[in-house]
Amino acid sequence: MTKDLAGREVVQVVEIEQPFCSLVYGNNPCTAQGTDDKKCYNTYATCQDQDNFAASTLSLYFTRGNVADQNISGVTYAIPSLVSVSTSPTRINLSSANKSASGLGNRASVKIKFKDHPHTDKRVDPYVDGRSWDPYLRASFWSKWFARNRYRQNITVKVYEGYEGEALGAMTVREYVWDSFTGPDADGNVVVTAKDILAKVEERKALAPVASPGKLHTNIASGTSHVECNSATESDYPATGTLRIGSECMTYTSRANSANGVTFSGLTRGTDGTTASSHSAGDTAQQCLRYTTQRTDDVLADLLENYAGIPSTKLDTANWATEYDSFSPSVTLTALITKPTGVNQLVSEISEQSSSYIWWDERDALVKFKVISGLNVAPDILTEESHILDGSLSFRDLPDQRVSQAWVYYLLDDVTRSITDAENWKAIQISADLNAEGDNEYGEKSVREIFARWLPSDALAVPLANRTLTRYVDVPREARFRLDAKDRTYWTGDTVRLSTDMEVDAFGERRQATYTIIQAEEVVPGEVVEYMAISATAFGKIYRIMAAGSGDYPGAATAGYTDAYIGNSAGVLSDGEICARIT
Amino acid sequence: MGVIFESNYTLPGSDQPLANARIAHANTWYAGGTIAASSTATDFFASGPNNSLTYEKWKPTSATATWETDLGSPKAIDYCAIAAHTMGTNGNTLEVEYWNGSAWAGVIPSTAIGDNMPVFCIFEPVTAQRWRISISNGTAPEIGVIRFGAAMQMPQAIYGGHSPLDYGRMTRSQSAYSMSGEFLGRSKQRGWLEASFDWTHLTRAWIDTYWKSFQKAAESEPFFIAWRPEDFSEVGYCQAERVPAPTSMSIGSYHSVNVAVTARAYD
Repeated sequence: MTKDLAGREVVQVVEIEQPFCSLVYGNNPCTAQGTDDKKCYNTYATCQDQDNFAASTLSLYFTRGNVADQNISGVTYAIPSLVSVSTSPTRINLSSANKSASGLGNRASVKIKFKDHPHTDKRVDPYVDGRSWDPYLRASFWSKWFARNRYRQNITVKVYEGYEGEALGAMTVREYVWDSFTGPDADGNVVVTAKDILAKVEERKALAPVASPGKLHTNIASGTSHVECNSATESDYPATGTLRIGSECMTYTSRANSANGVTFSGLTRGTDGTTASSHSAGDTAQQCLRYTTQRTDDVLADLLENYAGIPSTKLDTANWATEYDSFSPSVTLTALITKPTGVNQLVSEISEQSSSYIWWDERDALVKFKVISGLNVAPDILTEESHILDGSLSFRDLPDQRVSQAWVYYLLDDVTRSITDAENWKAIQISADLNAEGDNEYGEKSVREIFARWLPSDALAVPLANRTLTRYVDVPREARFRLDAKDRTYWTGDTVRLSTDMEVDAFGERRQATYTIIQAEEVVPGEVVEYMAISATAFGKIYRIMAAGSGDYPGAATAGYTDAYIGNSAGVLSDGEICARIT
Repeated sequence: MGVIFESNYTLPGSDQPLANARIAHANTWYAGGTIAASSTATDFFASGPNNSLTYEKWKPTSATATWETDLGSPKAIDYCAIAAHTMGTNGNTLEVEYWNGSAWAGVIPSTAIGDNMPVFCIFEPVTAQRWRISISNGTAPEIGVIRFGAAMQMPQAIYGGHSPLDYGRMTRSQSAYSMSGEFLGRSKQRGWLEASFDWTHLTRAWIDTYWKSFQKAAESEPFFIAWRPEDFSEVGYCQAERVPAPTSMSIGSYHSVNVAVTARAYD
């Protein structure tokens, strides 16, 4: 038996990476001076020489103090005050198909409850031995910690889960960013809430482009070729770019500091479908954000890193590029964003229009990117015999996501006007399955409108309409099930097949339908994982045209998953499997 | 490992029989001594064993090591109690010594520690100022609590009905089965130990002399108990679930008392 089967014992460790100065009080370059009782706690809030604060981190570990927690390799000092860890997992919104949810899906979060307690200040106070008092008799651990760590917003919080005997480094780790705390309460509990790093994308936090400070110094006419703005300097704007003043866009070829602020020269007025017009002193000159024929992964990385402030180390860009090159190299993005817009909204639009999605993988501590595409690797089969826990499997239809007509608006008329106004678009592509609307099928139409400002051409918009219709013409199904921890490697973003008598075809045979996991949560840490998955059969399969001279179909058991064998006139292979189709 | 006796231990004439429990509580041990360790590993604390917290530990940098407390003045000591240690896992031997003015003298000979159960070393009383434990063999252990003092001795033994502390395992277990009834796995979570100690026929005079002191100590800090050191080696590092109040037995001045405890589990 391995650790994750019989007799397994879960170990849970919480790590808080507290900002901590790497200097020693009063030692050069720290210029602070004071008696032992006046020394700081090497935190910024208590620092007496903040100009020389040398940011580093101090890892504080917390456990429940169970037997299995007592000796974890890699943890030398763990405070056994952990009461509970409650997670709310990431939920992917595949291609923003769920219109009642955020385009980015749900953010993962964790609530960690601690029991407050007296503390000796060992570990957290480098100068504890010199103090004239016994810190164990002064206030509680958390009340002191909060006072010494007032600036907490970028603290990293990690939750480790493993089994007895595993070293910390071998455990599953989920990473979050500090959000808030409550307590200590009357029962002596403190609850720390942390969220996934994509919380930084929330509308109030991240806007693209950034709001520009410049205001017209004087009135300008519709033909003016340069403008001067006050309340700004040249560093507030890129060397070349596009401005929006009122309802007009204009490009400039240079900008420089001038007597009253910054002057833009080489103006081309009335660009991007707008009309050159006069403007008044005091009007804002807003920098616009332009992308031209750019890769999806590059645009997402730019928005997340440069406008949402997510560190590049948290973006899995190398694998993003591989995913893009493999599954959607023909999709390029072009857009002009003329006013500060929530990065959340922009990413959601891109997700829908490029048939992709991003999510925070808290286990790998990376923002991941995936294109919705056919499968090129056979997904694992989860059966009701060997995997799915008793009483945990259920299905439901998602009729709100069915599509009988996909309307894709493209070629924006005026970039300064609303993109959700159908009158502001020059073209529309409609793909429809009218049979699906007939009385013998679903009996009503279901239209999905996509305002595709990122796809300004037939070549990009038409495939999106067709793809959307193909994937959602039938009502998608949602499956919920639980697996034992032995199978907890399956996680958000994975695709699996479910084999169960609860989902069969008209003949009673198991369908083994394909599902993409959109949410995974260890509802009982180390024991039970709960999944939510969306049917992905309609996403299809990627076939490989086989070389001339290849042998006949050898049967489903031995045929390569992507090998395209020739079927009979009914599209069926010798053992009844459906053959590849070119459509 | 549990109870360890001094070699050729002779019960002092005024002591209670070894069938009676020995309790080491905060009003019997000498805290506040000056601590010195032969070495201390990074992120561990020489002073850690000198408080009751089990997670602030001392760990030497090698398996051959000493940890000493200088009590400031000579004290009569008849026990050394150790908890939250890994000497069993690390394969160590333990020796308890005192400074006789010219050399270290042993009260507990070098003893191999077989497991991580709390240790209650019992020896004839010695009055000395400096006391230490010596570790050897195996690999460097971690030790959370070390106490020296003069034990409280219960005047009565515990009779039938006691469930030994070491078997009072509060372990939660959970099995998983698939939809078709296949066994998929079983989880456990070892928590703490639970037990209850009952004494009867305690005289009011004894209670007035000893029990209040224990009550006050137990309100604040854990305590060690060896419930029947003569016959059983179980030792617990316990917390009283509630302040243990004696009850009159309506037989002369006799009282009975029940102490329900939770103890730190170790295996």
